[in-house]
Amino acid sequence: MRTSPAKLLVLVALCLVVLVELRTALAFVGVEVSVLETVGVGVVAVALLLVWGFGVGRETGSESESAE
Amino acid sequence: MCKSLQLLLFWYSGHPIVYFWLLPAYLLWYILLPKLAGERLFSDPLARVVFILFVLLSTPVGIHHQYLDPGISEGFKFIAMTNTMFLLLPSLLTAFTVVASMEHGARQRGGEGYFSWLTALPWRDPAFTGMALAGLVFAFGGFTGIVNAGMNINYLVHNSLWVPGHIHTQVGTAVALTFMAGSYWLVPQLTGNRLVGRRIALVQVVLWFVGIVFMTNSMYRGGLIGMPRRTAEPEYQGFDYEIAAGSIGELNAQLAIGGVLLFVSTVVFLAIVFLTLFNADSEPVDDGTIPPPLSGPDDSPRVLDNLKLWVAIALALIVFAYAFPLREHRLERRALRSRYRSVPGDRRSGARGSAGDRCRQRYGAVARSLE
Ligand code: HEM
Ligand code: HEM
Ligand SMILES: [Cu+2]
Repeated sequence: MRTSPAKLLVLVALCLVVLVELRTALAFVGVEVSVLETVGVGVVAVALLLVWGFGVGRETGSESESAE
Repeated sequence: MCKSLQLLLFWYSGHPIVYFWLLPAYLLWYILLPKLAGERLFSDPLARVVFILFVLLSTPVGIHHQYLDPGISEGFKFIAMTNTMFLLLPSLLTAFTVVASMEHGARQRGGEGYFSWLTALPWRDPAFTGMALAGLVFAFGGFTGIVNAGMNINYLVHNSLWVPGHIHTQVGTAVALTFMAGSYWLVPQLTGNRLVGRRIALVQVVLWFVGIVFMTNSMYRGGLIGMPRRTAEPEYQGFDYEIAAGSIGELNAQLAIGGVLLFVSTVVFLAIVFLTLFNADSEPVDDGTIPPPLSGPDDSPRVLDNLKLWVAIALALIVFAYAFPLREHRLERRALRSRYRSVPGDRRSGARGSAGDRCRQRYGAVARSLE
């Protein structure tokens, strides 16, 4: 894993939150994103995060975290 | 009692009550959060300034819930607005102090860089993660508070679904999620029992965070297009909201999804705490010490400890903010009384019916039309 499960969970949550709020923010500047498009982007973004997180690599951050 | 006086006294106590909820959460952020992040509070004097600002300003602001109520002059509403804007200071100072404490803690644990120190924080600890996410939501809730507090923008959002949005980001998350996360630390400390299901607890706090953003985002958006609060079916016949993006059905669905996530999260929280209470597996209890702040009480100016002075200023501010509106209320009542007395034979006048009744007649109609 490139990161700890806990951090990955928080990242996925932040990703969902940014998606919901970004859709609102974009509407302010006249860019309309439909629900379906948002869900689509969300699935891809979360999938990319998971692939990155579970990918082979050194965990970044503190060592104490990996001592699950 | 006359309705306008009732409202004045209700919000006189109603606003300070939000600090009755908030300050215990602040204590957890100032004491427990730095400790869990592995380090010490950034600055003790700054913390003192924050709490003194609350002593000064938590009470003379209740009128900011009444910008649209009749019977209070615009000028007194303006005073309440000014006090409210100053009241943002302690929240901004808190955001700074708490984040600085966490950053210092993270750097002690080997964190580096502008932002990568964030990865050195103890995210696997549900008590830490819950409080950190609650603090993040509080930051955004504070911005919605600024919107509510501006007299002119308040006319747009008052009594709309926007206000429950503000409620659920502030007391419903900044406070409630902090208490839940704090319980994951406190309950094991009180009982000596190990927390059951630490990983599930982590999922629980994250679920609350996602749920509240889904729910409040739709509440804010609904409020901005004029959906009233406390109304079950806010789609009237032959009327369409002018919605900027998406549809009403979609807003309702998003609100419901958020609510369901929050409900599930609540059930999981209660289950974890209940199981922990009966968990025989023990956990070493904390040593009960608070790590000394980086900048300690000795760095603090003596005047900050002079509570008599601050309480006196607070009382003066309260008198300033409320004496005139109360006097205005009395004068209005007296004027009404003499006006009705001067109409001979008027059934409403004279000894029959109290001045309160007439005040109710006068303000009741206006207040009802606003409700
Ligand atoms: C950050 C600074 C804050 C500001 C400037 C602020 C300002 C306001 C204002 C002006 C209103 C009235 C909105 C309206 O009805 O038109 C309001 C409503 C409310 N606020 Fe805040 N607020 C802040 C923080 C908080 C906090 C920390 C809490 C709770 C812990 C809170 C809880 C509430 C609640 C429950 C209401 C709705 C009361 C009702 O049912 O009408 N607020 N806020
Ligand atoms: C399962 C989680 C929760 C859900 C699904 C939920 C949902 C709602 C809804 C739908 C409303 C009514 C909005 C309207 O006016 O139409 C509401 C009002 C409110 N909620 Fe929540 N809420 C939750 C948790 C909380 C928590 C934890 C708090 C505070 C600690 C809170 C405080 C309030 C307050 C003060 C009101 C305003 C009531 C009023 O208008 O008089 N809620 N909530
Ligand atoms: Cu208030």
